[in-house]
Amino acid sequence: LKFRAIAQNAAARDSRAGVAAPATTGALDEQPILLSTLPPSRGQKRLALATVLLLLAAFCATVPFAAVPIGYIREFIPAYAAAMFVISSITSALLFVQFSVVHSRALLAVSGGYLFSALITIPWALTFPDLFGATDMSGTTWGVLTRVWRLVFPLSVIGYTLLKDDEAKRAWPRPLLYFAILLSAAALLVAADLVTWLATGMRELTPSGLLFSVINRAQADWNALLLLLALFALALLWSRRRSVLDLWLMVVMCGLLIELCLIILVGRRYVVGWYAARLYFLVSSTLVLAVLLSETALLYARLARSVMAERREREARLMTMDVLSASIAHEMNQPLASIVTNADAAARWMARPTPDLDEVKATLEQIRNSAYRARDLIGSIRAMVKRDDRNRAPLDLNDLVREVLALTERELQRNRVSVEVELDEHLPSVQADQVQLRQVLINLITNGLEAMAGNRRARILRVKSAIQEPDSVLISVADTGTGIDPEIVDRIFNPLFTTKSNGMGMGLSICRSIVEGHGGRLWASAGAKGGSVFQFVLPANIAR
Amino acid sequence: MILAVAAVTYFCDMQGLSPAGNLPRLRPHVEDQQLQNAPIISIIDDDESMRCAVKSLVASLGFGAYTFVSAEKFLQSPRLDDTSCLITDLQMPGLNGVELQKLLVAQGRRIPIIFVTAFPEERLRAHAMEAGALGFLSKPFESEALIKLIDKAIETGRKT
Repeated sequence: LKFRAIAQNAAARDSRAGVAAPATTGALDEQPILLSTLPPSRGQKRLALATVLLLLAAFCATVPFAAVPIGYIREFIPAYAAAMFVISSITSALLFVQFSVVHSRALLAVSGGYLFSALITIPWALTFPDLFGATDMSGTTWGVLTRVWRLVFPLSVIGYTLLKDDEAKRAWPRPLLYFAILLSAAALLVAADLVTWLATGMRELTPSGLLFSVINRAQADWNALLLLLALFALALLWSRRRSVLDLWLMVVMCGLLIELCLIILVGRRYVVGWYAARLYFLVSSTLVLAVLLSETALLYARLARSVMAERREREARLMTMDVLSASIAHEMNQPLASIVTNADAAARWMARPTPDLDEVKATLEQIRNSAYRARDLIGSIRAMVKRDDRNRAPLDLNDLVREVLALTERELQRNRVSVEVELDEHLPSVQADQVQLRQVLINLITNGLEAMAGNRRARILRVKSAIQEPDSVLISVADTGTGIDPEIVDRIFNPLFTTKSNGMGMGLSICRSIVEGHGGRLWASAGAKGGSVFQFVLPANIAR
Repeated sequence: MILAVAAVTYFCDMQGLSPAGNLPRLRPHVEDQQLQNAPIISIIDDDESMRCAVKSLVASLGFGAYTFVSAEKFLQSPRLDDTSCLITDLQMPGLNGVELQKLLVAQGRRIPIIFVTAFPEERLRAHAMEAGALGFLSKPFESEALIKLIDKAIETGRKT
């Protein structure tokens, strides 16, 4: 028969998909998943604290040797600047992506800060006094750039902190979003250029001007200002800390503070403290990137999992509802149509002024043959789900329940059904055909789901596994749906019986055939608090 | 039982290949004259039980009924020229119902077509109706619906 082949294909496909992706946990979480909205977990808090402590320890360890001269390492500044450039630009790109998801101006501020850091490293490295010798030996330009960098970054963090809480949650239209990102990137590029131009040209332009005197104030004043700014940013972040991003930005601020402290302490270039200061800031900056990247990887894994689960679910549904019922519908409708039409024809032959009994006889013969054909069809469906020991293996029904819940997770969520799972962890295994029993569970869960589709009260699906003395296991699927009319409870397992407007009603009949083929029993009853309960028992494996 | 089915099949197909009026045993009540004037209905279905059932119903209405197992068989038969109404299955091996419809339209034949399918698909239905089908019935259908459509076909045939 046609549908048989289709059903088996679908079953094969289904089991392949099942092998390809192990069952996922059935957690139905609707939590915020982005770094900028997700509250930090305990582990993350500990990790951040450990990082800060480590940085502090490194700082303390460095202090005694801070003034020890190392000498000029020509490769240090280019390498450091390149690293900072890459780290800052990737961080900024990732934060811009987050901005495009969350639509928060705060994120735009902090990603702008990172982008500016990335841009400023280029002139900063190029103007480093000892690197390309010829230009500006005094290092004024470089000094100004360093200060602007150290000034803008904490400012962007402060901006982020101030903006992040009191924001009207409104969605930006997509074009505006892109425009905002492009505009801020362009503005920052211009700003970085401007700063560089001012810093390089300043001495010539306004040697005695006000701006120059402000920028070129005594190192100590500047350092104090930057220190205070970083401290303020840290304190502000602390008072408004909520998300994972806040946590790691605090770590970065600590890194910046430690760097500034070391710089103030040593006051000279090319000593241990000077090199260490840069490294500490680099490490703390890398951390935000590392966290962002790990989150991206995590999100990717989740996405891949959910896409896979969706695909498997679709295939499973295809097997149960669409393909199977459509092919059965096609096969079944032929004899049915023939019976109906023949019956009408017979009635007409009879109703003639001279009834044509030969025609009536031939027509009745046809009706009988069509009925036989329908009977054979049902028989072959039973044969399809008949016992075939080759496919049977020890099966943990708890695992199967989890797998099917994962398969139907999306559908359950979409229908706002909450799932209560109560599994007996000491459940013995059963000797069963996994594909067939998965079909049974999918059918029972889908039935429960559909029974609750029109529910005004809570939609709860309870799936339970238990040991049924003496040597059986019991699985029950209870819903809070419309329940079963006691008048039809005996008929719901009949083939072609359905109360649904769409569907062939083959599902429960096939389920019962499968369970009985496994030497078990499947029955339905009214739930304790309304709804209905479908339960089946299967003989447990003797060897526990 | 297989033999019985085979016998019935053979019997039905025999009828299909010859005009209903030439088998007086089955229609002693139908006057020869009436039969000659009776509109001819052709039935195409690859399902034998369905073919016989529709044929019986159509014959009971007093029409000349001819059955064909495939669209190709119908296209080769002389009934192509005197069919007043065509009742055809949609999904068939070889030419399917819609393809047959296209072919007939291309040949300039304006035979009213009633589609019957056990596999109702909205897209195909829309397709067929758009191409000028008279009706579209899903198996199992009510005989009254088919009779009404046949009457409509004969009615339009008389007018033109």
